[in-house]
Amino acid sequence: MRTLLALIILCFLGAGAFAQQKPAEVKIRPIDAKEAAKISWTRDVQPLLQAKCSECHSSDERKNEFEITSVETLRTKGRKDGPGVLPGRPDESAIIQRIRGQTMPQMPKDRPVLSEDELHLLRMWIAAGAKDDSGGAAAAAVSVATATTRPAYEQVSDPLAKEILDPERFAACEDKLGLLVKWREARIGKLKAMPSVPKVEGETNNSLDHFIAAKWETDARDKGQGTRDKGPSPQPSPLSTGARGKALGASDVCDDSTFARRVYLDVIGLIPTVEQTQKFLNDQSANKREKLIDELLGRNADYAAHWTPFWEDALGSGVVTGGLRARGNYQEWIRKSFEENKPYDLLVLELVNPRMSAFAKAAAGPQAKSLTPKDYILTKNHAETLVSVSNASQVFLGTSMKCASCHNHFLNSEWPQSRFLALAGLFSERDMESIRCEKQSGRFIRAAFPFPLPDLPVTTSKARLQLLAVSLIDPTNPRFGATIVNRLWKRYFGLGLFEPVDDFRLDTPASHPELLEWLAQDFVRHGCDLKHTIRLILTSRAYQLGYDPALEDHFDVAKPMEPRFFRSPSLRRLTAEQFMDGVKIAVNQTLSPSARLFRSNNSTALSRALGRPAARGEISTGRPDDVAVVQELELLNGKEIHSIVYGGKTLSALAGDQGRLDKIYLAALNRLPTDQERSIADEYIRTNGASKEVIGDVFWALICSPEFQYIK
Amino acid sequence: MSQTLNRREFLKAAAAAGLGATLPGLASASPKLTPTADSMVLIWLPGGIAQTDTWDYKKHTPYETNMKGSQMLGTCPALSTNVDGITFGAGLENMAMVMDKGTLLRSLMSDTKFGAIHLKAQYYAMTGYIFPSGVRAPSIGSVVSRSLGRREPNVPPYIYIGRDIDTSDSEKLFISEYLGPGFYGVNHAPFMIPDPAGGMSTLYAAAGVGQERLDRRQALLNSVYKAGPRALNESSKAADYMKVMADARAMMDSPVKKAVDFMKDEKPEVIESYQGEISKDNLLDKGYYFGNRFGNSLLLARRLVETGARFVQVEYQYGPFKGFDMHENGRRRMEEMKRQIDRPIGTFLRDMDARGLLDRTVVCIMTEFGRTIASEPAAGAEPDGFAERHTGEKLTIANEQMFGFHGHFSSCNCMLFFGGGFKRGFAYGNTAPTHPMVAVESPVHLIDALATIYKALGIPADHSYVTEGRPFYVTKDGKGEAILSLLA
Repeated sequence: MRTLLALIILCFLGAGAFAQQKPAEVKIRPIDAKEAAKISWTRDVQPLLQAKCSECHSSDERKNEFEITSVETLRTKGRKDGPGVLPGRPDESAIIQRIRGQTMPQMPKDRPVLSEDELHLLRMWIAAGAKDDSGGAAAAAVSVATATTRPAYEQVSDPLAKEILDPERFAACEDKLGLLVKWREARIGKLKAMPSVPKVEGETNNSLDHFIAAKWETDARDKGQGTRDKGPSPQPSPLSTGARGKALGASDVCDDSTFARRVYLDVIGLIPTVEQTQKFLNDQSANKREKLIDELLGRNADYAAHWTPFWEDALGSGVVTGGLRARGNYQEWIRKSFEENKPYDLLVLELVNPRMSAFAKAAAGPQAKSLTPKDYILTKNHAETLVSVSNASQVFLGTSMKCASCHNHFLNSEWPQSRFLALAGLFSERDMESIRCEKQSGRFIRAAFPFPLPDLPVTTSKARLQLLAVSLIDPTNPRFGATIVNRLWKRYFGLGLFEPVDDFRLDTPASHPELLEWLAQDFVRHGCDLKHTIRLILTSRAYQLGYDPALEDHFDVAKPMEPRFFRSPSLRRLTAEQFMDGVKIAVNQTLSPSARLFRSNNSTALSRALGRPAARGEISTGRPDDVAVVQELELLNGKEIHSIVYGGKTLSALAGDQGRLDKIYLAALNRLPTDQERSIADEYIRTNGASKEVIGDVFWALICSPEFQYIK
Repeated sequence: MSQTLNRREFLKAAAAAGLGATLPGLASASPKLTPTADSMVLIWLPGGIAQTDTWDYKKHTPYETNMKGSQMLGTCPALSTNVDGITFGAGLENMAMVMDKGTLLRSLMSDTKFGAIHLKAQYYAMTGYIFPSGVRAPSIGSVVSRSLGRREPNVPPYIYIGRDIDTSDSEKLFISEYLGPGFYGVNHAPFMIPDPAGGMSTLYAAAGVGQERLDRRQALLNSVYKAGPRALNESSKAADYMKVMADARAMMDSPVKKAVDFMKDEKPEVIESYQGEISKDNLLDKGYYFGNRFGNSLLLARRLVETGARFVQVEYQYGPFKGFDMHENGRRRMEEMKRQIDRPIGTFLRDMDARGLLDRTVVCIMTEFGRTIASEPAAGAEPDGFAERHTGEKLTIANEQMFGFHGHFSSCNCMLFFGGGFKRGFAYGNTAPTHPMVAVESPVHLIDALATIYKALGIPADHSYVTEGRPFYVTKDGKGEAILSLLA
């Protein structure tokens, strides 16, 4: 009988006009305060509202003048309702009344009602105070609504802030470098305390190892927990620290040869010569690894040479003719900046807003032109502006916003289009029109910086680029420091603490959130000195672990929550530059700085096959490590590689040298051959005759072997 | 893809569809397509061909001193093709006799006005995306080769003939990028054959390295690897690298090598029939002449299709202010260019058809934009969109150098398709009889023209691959719609 009644009601519900009068019932459940406290806005509530409500209540649609994009907007009143969310009072909140149909029309309008679980989740979150755990991510948009139309430098009272934000006063300052450093120091004072370094039992070189080992320990405990139920723990107490590392599933520290090759390639982009290898292997001092790291970091020109192609790719450096408007060629500026080890924040400042350069004076003279970065932010028209902004966001904020150029980011609710356009408005010095999927709206988005920073305005009526540049590099900007230290981590370990490195987002945690925060703060507190952080990473025990494929971490974009442990570095393919320069050192034992590949304007079939871009119309922050037939054919038969290998200056001498095998292995792989390797190569040379060509064959085989091609 | 699909759903769908796999994943919301073609030859004629002097003929208006721009509708006499209702400009006699084998699209539009910028227009033509697109967009050849893979085991899926490889010229470097695989990566890069006479040099052991020594050396590499560090022997990355090395060696025994030997295999009269009909001495600009490269390229393309190539692109190498990029003396230059391309293309299509290869091969002829009248003899820098609306009323053709279609015209342009399921002896769309000669009937967006080609090859227009955690479609935003009228 009851079923029949329900059926009849259902029929009526489907019948349109009448149905609108009667809400569909969604049952409510009693709220447990403890459970309620666990509900997260970013993890639970925001995705739910995004899925159910954003079609009508996004920042673009705003039906009933109500939007669900942030906690702030939810707390405002709709045109016909009271506040959407009243913290602590779920059942008085308009959004709950709408969902339950206590106010009609019931929401979501003309869509299935929310499930009991979904409603309960919302009520729990509101009951627990409707807390915003997004780190103010979406709050910026709201702050703008209430912001004044005054210039940023009039909105602050601190004299230092006024000087920094006012272009005229800044321009008048004689010692810009001093001013900027002073400002950085003042801003560092606003940082929250650094995460505490965890205590661990195993062997560590520095604080980084504590964070890394702590995760191994947690993992071992968790696993131990799992096995305890099934029987006694199989792990006896470890005696030595090395065994302790093993017990925690990590690889051992790598041998000296592997370390030398790895650190040479990582710091200066070159493999060591035979002499350099032997010098290091024969060094008996206990701190020889640290000594080598410092020596390499001190080779300023070589260090800069290795960084240059990375930043050329990332900035899209290089002029294209044929009428294409393009960014500048930044090669010399990048090289020189890294040679001088400019503080990273001031380097970015100079690029984004050249008028704020702390180094412009030093760059005067005949070289001034190539040492001043120009046209990085192009804002001639809407499309060009958006490309500039999404490039800069990707590179310096590790935040992929391209999707939000044309519409709300489908895959990342953190980036509604309006938030992106607000940022673009600062770059372009004018409010950006909301143009959605190529349709103009006539609606202009008020410029604003997307991450509210303590005691800094989010918007300004003029001198926008000034505010943008200051905010971008601010020590308290949550993504600026984290992005670069994460890049460094990826550069030296093969994977970032956060992945993908260009797409920081709130719904995915870093593999070691405290370590990332610690590193970012430590970097900023040390004056954004890249070499400081690089040294920290390279001297860590974690960096010096041996490669073990069974322990190697992997990142799969489909499984972003999978943990990474860094028990072994990841195998990394050499870049085209590392490879070509390395081959030349292997066979010639010398390489003049001007002969390094990054200096060449010529693009060849080989360099392209190895992943060096022919042009840099689109930016990129990482070279692919793909292996392909077209590339291997270049290695097998290409004229370019052939002439380098067989034209090697050391070949003839080696042909007549009895100790040649050791030398060849040291030259190509920076280690001595094993007995088996010795006999294989020996037999090849004996069978075919010790000619220059045959020695070339042996070099070719070593150079084409994975041990040369990858950093292990 | 619906706009409400969230990231998790998207990733789930992506994983289910095998996105990112190198094998034909063909992830798409559309039903499976039945291909009418297995391979494609793209004849790429960059520079911006004056459509009114070639495939979309209007009227012969001979030069008169001080004639108005609006009076200049065609610089050459009409030429009947073997299809009723399709008229070419004179100088395309060979192509006119194969028009019965294909479809002429007269009303191809661009989504934007490129103004003076060839490179942007070429990027757009070759990728379907406007530069900068925020992503390194893959070229048509890379889309086809990635989506469909190799047709024969040892035949590269994307072969590019007729373009210099090593260069430091920044314009050529940019071109190399958009003809390449973009974010697809080097696995989907073209195998370059700069000059057919030189073949694909990396398929041959370098000078002085005989086949036997090459194999000995490769065996040494394998032994060195196996005897090397245990960790690398257990690494799947290192193992994959060695596998590809073996694959590269196998490619050296590829039938492509045989195809490249056309000078030995083909009769002299066949080789001759593929050649252009003008010698260097008769050219206005003797610096822009590539000998028999274009004809040989088409002959090689035919042999590669026979051998099992998936996608072959043949280019008449672009040179700014050269060839089809005519900014003065348009009449004479056009005559010369037609004599360079007409017989090679005509012979190629006849040959392809006679051998039954057109049944399952799409041949497409493309350029980056059309042309119109221009106010200057060498109009290299007209403001964006200016020429697009020009009627020519205010333009005086003061001297014979100005007689020709020297203005860039992004608004309309032609494209031709032969075989592979396209209609035979068919023309689609119409354009205005006077300037500006925009499409007045059945305008077609490039995205839809590309979707039509992809449909013939069995690739859905919303097929996508993931980059930066999001789908990137083979036609812009996955929205291309095949023009069914073009297909048989």
